[in-house]
Amino acid sequence: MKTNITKNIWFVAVLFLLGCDKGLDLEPSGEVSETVFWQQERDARLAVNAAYNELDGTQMVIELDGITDIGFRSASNVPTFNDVRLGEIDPSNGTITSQWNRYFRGVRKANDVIVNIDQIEEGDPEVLERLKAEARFLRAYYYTQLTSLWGDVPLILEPLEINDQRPANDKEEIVDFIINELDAIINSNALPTNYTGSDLGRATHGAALTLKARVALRNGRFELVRDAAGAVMDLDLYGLYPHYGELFQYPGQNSQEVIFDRQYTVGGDTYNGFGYSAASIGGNSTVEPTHGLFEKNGYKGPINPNDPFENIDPRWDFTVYYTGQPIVFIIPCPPVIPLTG
Amino acid sequence: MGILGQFLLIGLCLAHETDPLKAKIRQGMVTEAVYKNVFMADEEGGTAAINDRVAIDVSGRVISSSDNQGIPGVNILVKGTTTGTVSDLDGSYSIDFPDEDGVLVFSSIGYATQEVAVNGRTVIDVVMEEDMQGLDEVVVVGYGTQKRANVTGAVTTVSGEALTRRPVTNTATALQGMSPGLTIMNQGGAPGAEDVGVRIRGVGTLNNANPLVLVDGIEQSLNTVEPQNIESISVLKDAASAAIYGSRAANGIILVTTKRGVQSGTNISYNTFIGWQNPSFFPPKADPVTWLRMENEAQVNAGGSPPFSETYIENVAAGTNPLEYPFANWEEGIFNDDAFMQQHSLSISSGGEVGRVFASLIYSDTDGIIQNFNNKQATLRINTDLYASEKLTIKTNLLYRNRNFSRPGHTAQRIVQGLLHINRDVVMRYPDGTYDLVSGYWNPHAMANEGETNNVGDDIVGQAGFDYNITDALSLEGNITLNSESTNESQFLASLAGMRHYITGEPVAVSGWFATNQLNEAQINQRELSQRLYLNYSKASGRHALEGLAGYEEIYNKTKEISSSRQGFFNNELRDINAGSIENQQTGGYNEEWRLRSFFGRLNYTFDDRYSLQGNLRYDGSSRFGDGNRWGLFPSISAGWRMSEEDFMEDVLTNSMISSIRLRGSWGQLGNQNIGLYRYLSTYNLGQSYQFGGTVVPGAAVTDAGNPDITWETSTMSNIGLDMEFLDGRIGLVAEYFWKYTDDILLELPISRTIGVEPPVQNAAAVSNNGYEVSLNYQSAFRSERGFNYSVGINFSDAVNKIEDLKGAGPFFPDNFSIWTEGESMNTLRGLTSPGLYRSQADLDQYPATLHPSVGIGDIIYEDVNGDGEISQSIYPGGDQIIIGNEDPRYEFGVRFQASYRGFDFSMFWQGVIQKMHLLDGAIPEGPAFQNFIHEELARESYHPERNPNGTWPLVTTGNSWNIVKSDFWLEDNKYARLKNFQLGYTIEQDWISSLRVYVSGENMLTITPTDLFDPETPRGRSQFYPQTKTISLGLNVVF
Repeated sequence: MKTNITKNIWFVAVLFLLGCDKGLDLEPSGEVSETVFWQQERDARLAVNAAYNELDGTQMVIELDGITDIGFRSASNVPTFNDVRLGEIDPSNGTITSQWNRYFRGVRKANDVIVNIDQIEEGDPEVLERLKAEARFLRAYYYTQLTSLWGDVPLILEPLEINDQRPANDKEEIVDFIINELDAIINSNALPTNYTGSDLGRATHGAALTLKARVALRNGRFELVRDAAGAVMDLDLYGLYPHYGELFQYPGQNSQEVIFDRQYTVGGDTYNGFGYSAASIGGNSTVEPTHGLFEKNGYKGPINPNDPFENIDPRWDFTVYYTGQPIVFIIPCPPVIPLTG
Repeated sequence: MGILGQFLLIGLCLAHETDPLKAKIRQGMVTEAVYKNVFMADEEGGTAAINDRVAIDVSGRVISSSDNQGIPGVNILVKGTTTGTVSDLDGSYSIDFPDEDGVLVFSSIGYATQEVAVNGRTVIDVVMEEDMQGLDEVVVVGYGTQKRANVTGAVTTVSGEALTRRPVTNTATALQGMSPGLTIMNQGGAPGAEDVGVRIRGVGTLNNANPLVLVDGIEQSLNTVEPQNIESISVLKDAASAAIYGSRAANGIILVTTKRGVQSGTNISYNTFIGWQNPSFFPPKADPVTWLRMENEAQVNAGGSPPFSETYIENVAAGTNPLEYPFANWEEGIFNDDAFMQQHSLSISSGGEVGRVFASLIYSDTDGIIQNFNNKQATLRINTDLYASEKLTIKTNLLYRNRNFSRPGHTAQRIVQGLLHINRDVVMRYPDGTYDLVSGYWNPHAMANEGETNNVGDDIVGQAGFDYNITDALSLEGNITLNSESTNESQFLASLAGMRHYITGEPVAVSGWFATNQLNEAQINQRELSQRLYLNYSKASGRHALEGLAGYEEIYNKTKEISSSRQGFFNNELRDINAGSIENQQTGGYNEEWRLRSFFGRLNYTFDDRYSLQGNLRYDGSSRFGDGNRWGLFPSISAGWRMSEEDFMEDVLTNSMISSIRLRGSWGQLGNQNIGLYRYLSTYNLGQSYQFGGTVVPGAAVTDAGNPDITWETSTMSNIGLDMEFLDGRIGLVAEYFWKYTDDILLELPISRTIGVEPPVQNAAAVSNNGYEVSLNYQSAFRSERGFNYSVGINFSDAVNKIEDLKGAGPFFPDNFSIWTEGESMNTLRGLTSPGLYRSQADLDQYPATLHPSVGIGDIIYEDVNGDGEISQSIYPGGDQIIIGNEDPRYEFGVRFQASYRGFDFSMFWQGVIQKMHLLDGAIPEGPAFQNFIHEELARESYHPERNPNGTWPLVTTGNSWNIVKSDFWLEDNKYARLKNFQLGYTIEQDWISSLRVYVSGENMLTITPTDLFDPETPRGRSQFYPQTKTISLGLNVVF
């Protein structure tokens, strides 16, 4: 009897001392924990793909126009870009902070790749190098947007711990960083000049050169602009697409006029241009073009007062809706229109 | 008897008394009680005419079945008289017996009362069985039982008998008002899916605040366990009693013990009731003419023209031509009158030399008060104890439960939403069965009658355990348990596409949920395997008594769900997933598991039955936390002092009504691990896809940060208690005061957005709950079995909730109403403040700032608190919202009255809250402004310059948004007292079976509350809830 008790006590004691954590280290089976990621090429590919989906969407392409002279953002009872037009932005404006948040999500995703990709042992080294360059390109892109809109922003080069706080860096420092990064990508030739099939839309060598030209242009470094833009032209890959209207339809996707863009497809992200259009044709009139858009693009004003849009550049048919435009015949009304540019 | 006795001893966990001193005192007390009984009865002339018979002298000895020792202090009465005596120290007694054919009644607390026919004998020895139901003596505590006298924590017990007094199928409902400090909010809900909130001593966390409910040690829902199977419930309220459950104990513990077989003999009982349910409360609606006139008025006030002509109104009033001049009676279209319910329960309890068994079969069938809602539940339970040897008992518990809940395709919330928000000038249902659909998909009557939802569940709990008596002082107990719940959920939404208009024959526009049929199916399986093993030690020598417990427990839980859905079914009748179209089909699922490993111990020392000291320790390891934070230690200590046992108290006690005084105090720490899984880990979210070249490509990224430092929420709780008895125990008083401080509450503190991920939860907040509880019970002096006996029980409690710390963050706005800010309750409301309505130009001049340019006479005035000339709905000082109150229930009470006289028994039970506020939202304040439900109060009170210049509700204006914002104007007092239950029973005297009782019973039949607008137990929100019910029922209890 006594031995039985002793055995039982020992049983408990042994469990207590030795087996404490066994079985308690359960990991989720439906989510991928950080402990099993970064093992093969596929992981890097997944992480880079995710970094692309913070590229500007509808919000920036159309809404940002609404706060300039070429567009009008309709009034709203929740804070939107309309508050910028009214000169009433405050720090709690969710539309503006969400844009800030979006770019920093992109920075985080890119940093995650850049810091962790070298752990991967299984995979084609060339592909891994390209993926890393794509991530650096995307980070440079997000910083271009951040510094263009906000000026001084914190420069973050690794995934931060949750309680980290970083001060803002000077705009010049950010611009130097972007240009150095793009130079490193360009000089390494890690990005190809073009892709095929289901890689179409990834960052290319030309995209890196073009982004460098854009950030240099926005910051008055004109020599750099000249050289980088010239290098793009020297690639001899890009040119105007002959049919302007098709740029907004399937045939114009990934054509020679497109250097880098956000990609859309049915079943994935789609672009509902009609959602922004006039209420009379099914949109919600969120952002309307103003006369400034016409003036900016060479419209000479109404010559015939009875038909103000007489003889205008036919490309307007694919850019805005104007009075008298024969909508039905020009655009076959799919609910979803792939948009490039 | 020896073997049986041995095991009884084990079964009682050594609760038997061995201390002669204690016995002596009890003897004294009982003697006094008998003296008083006799004295009181004499006054009423109850002892007349007993000296005419032949008297004999009967003597003997009363011994306990458990140890063959004499029982002192047994109350021995001559049946039908007040003549009696009390057994002495070694159980001997003698009595002058007036009638040689009479019957002696032996009774003592803790033992089953026995009646023995004398039949001319002069020596009668009696063996008394310890009464397992006698909860006065033995209290179920964590992993064992304790003598009530030794319990040092705050524990309230409720007997199964008290629960089954109410003909309800839900144990949580039956517990309402039974224990001070236990708040049960019956928030309505469909049968089988009742929304019953359970809180012990307030809300101690910003997260899940549900107490841990253990049925025979296994975590289960209080809503599904059948009241008929319950032997007792212990509510462990303070740290001393709950700390043995460590990381799961912060919200308090409810221990449910199910019935076991009787020691000997066989009892068969059958209990049944049938009942009829109706909504307990729904705001009385305006009559149709007033209704339509209010809608006209709202349009006119908004500058429009009245939508309803006099012809329309006259036709509606006359009820002629309802198809041309319809007025939909949605109430009739969705509610059932007198919804029927029935329950049958058959149980067998049997025991003998080899063991004992309790088996029961329970079936209930409850229709909902909303059409097509129903719940059927069948439960089989078998609890057995097998006496394998003198030292070993094998215990097995088996439960099988089948749940079958059905409702229409749509939820009650959505149907009631339709009732409250859909205009009435439509045809509810045409003679051919078609409907008018508002916006193409709204018609609450159609929603309550189309489609179907079935949730079929199978619950199995199998428990195999043993109880091994190693020595007299040492025993080992353990069990292995499987708890399996599997539920099939199937929701079919019918399509009404293709419907043609009854009058015009034109196709009816159908959209939304009626546009296409859809089937959603889900299968949820939860399996929980657990095992526990613990060693009990109990030894008393002289005036010292020592009890100890050391144990181990491990729980592993795995939950798996798979779901699928399809649309476009061939027709509304083919409801198999295969009959749907594969286009737009969806599948999903998840798998979750957690494990808890624990070691625990308890030490209890009692000296002289005067001083007791207890310590608990639990060491918990949980898979919910990361390495280094997995293990937590939860200690508690407590002490008790029976002051009335002290010599210096002797004079006080003999000269007063006080019979016993005891003081208790405790301190301890409890944890809350109920905080979700894997929150310590950063995980790669696989839903981050992108697209390249027209193809969707998968992507993965960390989108929500994990927090590797995450750890338990910890509650530190102190409690002082006072137990007093008066008039020899006929009046009992228990009073408690507690301080509870919960720290490290998990909260999503905002983080710098430059980090690029959603914030993780962090151990950040602290909340306190301080309060008191009092319960008082009075038992009338015993006046024979068939005399008028009654008892009254009152309990009262209050707790003050306060957010102590948010780490400088906040205020947080968890919903449209609330604000979490330091120094205020968690249920604090924010809103604008209003001095009333604009009634004159002077008011408009005095309060020029308005929420909207259209505001004028008859609208609500809001105060410009920050003085910026504008009314803005953000918190002061940026805006004009301030804290306008809170919705905490304060001063809760329960009052129970029971009485019996001859064959009749009566009981009633009131429950209520003395202070409570509710902020109105939804259709009730909106009314005709959005063509919503119009209730009588709005119709009567809405302001109108000519019609009703003294109205207290604002002017009705279509599309009005400025009168319905959150403000103290809409703060409604909803304190209440509610007759939760009354019951009148009659036990029929007959000779065929042991007992036959019939009763009539009512639930929620009477409510006293200042509000006419909603049921006072309604939760916060837009009143779109399945309403609470009132039930009248007839029942039958039979014991064979």
